[in-house]
Amino acid sequence: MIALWLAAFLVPIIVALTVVSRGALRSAGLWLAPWSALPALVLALVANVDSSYEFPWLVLGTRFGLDTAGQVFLLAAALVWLVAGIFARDYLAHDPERHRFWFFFLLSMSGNLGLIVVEDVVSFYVFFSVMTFAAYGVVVHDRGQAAFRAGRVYLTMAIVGEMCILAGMFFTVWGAGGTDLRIASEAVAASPQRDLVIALFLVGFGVKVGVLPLHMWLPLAHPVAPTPASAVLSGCMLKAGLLGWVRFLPLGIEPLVGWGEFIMVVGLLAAFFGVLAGLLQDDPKTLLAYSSVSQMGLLTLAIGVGFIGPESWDLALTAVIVYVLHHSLAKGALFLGVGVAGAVGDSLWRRRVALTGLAVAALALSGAPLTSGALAKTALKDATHTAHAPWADLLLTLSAIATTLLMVRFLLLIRVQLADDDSSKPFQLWIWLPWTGLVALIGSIALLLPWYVDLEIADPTAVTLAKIWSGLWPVLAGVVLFGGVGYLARRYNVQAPLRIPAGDLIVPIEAMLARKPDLAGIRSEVQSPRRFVVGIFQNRKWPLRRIESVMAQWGNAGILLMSLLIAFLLLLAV
Amino acid sequence: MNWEFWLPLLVLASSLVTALANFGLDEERHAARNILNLTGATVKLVLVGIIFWGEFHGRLYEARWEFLPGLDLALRVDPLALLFATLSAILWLVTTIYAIGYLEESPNRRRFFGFFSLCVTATMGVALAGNLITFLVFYELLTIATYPLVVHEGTEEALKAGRTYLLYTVGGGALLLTGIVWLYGISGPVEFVSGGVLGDVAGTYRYQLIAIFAIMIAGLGVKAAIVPLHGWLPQAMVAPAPVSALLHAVAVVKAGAFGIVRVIYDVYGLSFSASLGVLQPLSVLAAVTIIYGSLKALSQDNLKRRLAYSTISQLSYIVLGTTLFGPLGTAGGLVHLMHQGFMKITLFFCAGNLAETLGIHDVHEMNGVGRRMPWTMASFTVAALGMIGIPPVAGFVSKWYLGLGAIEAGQQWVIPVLIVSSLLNAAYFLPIVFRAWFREPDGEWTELQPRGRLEVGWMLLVPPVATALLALLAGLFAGWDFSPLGLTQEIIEDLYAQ
Repeated sequence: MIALWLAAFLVPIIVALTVVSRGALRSAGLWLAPWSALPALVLALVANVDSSYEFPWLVLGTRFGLDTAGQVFLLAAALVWLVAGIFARDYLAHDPERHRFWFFFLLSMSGNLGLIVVEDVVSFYVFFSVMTFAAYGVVVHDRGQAAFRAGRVYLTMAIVGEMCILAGMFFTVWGAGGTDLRIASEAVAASPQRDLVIALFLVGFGVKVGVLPLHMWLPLAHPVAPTPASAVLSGCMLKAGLLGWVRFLPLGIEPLVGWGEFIMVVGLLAAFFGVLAGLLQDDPKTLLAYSSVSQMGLLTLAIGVGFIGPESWDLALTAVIVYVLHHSLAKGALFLGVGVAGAVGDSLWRRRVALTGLAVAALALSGAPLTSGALAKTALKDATHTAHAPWADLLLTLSAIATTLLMVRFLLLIRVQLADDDSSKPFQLWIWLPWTGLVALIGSIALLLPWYVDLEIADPTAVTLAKIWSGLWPVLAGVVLFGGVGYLARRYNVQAPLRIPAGDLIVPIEAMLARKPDLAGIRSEVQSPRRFVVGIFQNRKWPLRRIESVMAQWGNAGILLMSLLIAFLLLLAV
Repeated sequence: MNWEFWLPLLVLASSLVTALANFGLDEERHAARNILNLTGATVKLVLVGIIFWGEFHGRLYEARWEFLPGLDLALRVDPLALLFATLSAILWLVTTIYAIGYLEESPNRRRFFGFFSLCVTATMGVALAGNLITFLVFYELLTIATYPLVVHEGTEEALKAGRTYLLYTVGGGALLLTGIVWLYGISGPVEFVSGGVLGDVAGTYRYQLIAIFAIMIAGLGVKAAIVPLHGWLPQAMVAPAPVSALLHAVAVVKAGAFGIVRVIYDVYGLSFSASLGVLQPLSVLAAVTIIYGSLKALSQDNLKRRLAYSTISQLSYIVLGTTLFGPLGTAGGLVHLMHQGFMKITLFFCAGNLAETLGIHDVHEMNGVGRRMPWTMASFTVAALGMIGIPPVAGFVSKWYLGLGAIEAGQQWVIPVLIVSSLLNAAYFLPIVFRAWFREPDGEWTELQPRGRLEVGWMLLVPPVATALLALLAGLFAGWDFSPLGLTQEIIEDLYAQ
């Protein structure tokens, strides 16, 4: 059994190392690579929730274990990684640099799966970092200017996030007196620096989650990354940030209403902002990235609900678990669908299959009845009912309508793309098979879930007309609204009143950094944060530069020694 | 006549004999010289291994004799000495291999390897010194033995750097001597005892002891490159790569840092230092150095200069950890003594490989070198990530304990320092890694130097790969009893037993 736990994250690492070797070893690695998530999937299906294993000599003492939340996170992640991996096999078959892609893809996979199966703080951080840094490699795989820009924004934000997490962990572990992940949230709740720690974790993991306004890297990174990478970025890696919140935030311990309400508001803002910005995009993958911002906003809302009180957190956790499974599969299918649409060519039946599959995934995301989305949204609504937030019901329904708008726009973009493509393309089985399988799973997961884990959710088989209607009308309203507004806009020739470039806030921020700021009279053109700091130093008016050259002269050593002594004594006197 | 007496002496002798034999050997007898140096390094590693085993089984190794009336020279193996000695012995062997490969075809190898071995003798003496006087003797010997290595190339620039180096370190040595003499005047000969020996005279001489502390730290701070005494270090990087590697990882700078650890833990004692109020100013100074070194490293285009400023910053992690009162902070400081050694030596080996094979000295020439020298750059990447503190490389373990130690000692302000330093480290290391792996090759070197079966001779390739692996394993298996972190635990138990 223990072998399976280790295999879950070791197999991807080992295969990653073989793909960057040479000769037969590399060929074997490339052949195995798509299947590297299989051990994790098996583990997710057979793992005993109560079992745990400890390795005191590994890093700072590693402990493996899974609770219910971890089990579902693992299932969702392993499924999407596996499907994306198989998809990548044919998708990248002709890429001469594909070994490079696989290396980073597999390392991120290992980090992503590893952080779910550990139960100690340090290993969680280790795997989280491995995922963060390896993901840079898949984001910039394309090596174009856009890819490097996206990579720079991603990495800068991610590192700042990592540092916030690390600082938060210092306080957590000190408070807990050990690295046990299961008591981390209690330690945060009891910490004298509780609010600081909460803020650090909110920001630190928030970068990964893409919480407003830390979402800026998302719409840049998703379109430039190869399609299977976008699928796992949105489908799995964003959820790693969410799992971080679940593990570390003091949820369900004592009511922290102030934080709860703040986070709920932030989440709802993201839910609507994501749709608004997404509607104004022309690139399907950028649109989907904004849709992820919006959907993660809803999950942020659930975390906010969890702050309200212990009984709220019970329901909110259920909502988070179901929602994560739902969104991973649906968003994975949508992103991969963009790639599938690119493989349609002039074949009519392939076109139909692609559009139908995408429509199913889009319906699920909008929360149409009988899909995983309906289950997730019901769970979310149940949770908000405990949070004394009467406005939540209305806003969640509005958000479902908004999501539908976005999905209609997405399907239209894809349809245009399909209509434009009349080239003949070979049929690639390993692109179509995993994708259709994933779509089929979206349709059936709602029914399968009760057999898998024991959660307090509405019985998916108890279907009533009223329930179907309550799920269906927002979707219909969204479609009608989109059609109506679109018709009127065409009729009166109205243009969209504003444009939001991909990455929204990052654009003015970059411009600000690139301007020649008069800050301390720097003259050099500043392109990156590093150059910015360097610029300050190289400025002649800045005294540090002079000081350094004085110190470099050997004759001054004695003076310096004396002055250090004096400074030291002065410090003592204070 | 027993092993407990002779083993510490043999450890020193193994490199002293090598040094003398080197001087006696003709310049042209390269093969003999190589065998001699490799044998010396291996013998020393084995001897340290035996001591390690013995110490673990409770043996007490001590060699002591009176060289002036009332003044003993003493070599003693305590856990702290063992930590430093182990590090030196491992890295010396690796560096010897590297130096042989690096200096092939170059003149003056007799002089080089002679002083090289002398330098290690001195470092070992610093590690095993059992009292302040012995420490001082070897500390000064180190200064002198290193000078010919720094100026080895004999260029104008090297001579200038050598002058600066000598003035700084001799000045520092003089200060240290002053402090020791003053201290001996107050309390008589000072042995290194865990927990300190000055508690008895504390009441009467409080202010004198503070002044002595300041003088000794200033003296040691020169080699430990504490700002503003660091000026010599970036210049000394004109030395050949193996010298820079050893200088930045074990020999000179580490001797300074190790001396500070000795003074605080085994002369003054941690509690007594804290009651004197001298720890807080020193940790502020260390924090300033950490940030300052990183800021300066940002603007260096020359690779070795950037690494040199990074050393300044990283060394003060050790000092910072030493000043944090509590087992966790102590662990962070002590373990970084080893971790920084593994990582920094790797970085300098790699820089040497780039310069030697492709003629690359500046960061801006490094576009795409990962394709030409994958193993070198993979080692560089591991070490650089470790320097930033990205797990599971060793640097993370240091940072983790420093962060926890800061809270334990009630010095929360240290955490932002660590965070900012990590961010700055990322800002000057990641662009190098990025250029090497993600940019297309475009330097002049692309036409030169066609690649052989190996990217560079094995003597230049094995050392960085080995030390990078050590840095990785030290982090990955930090929880193991014999990892660097495990080795610090015994020191800490002694230290906090009182």
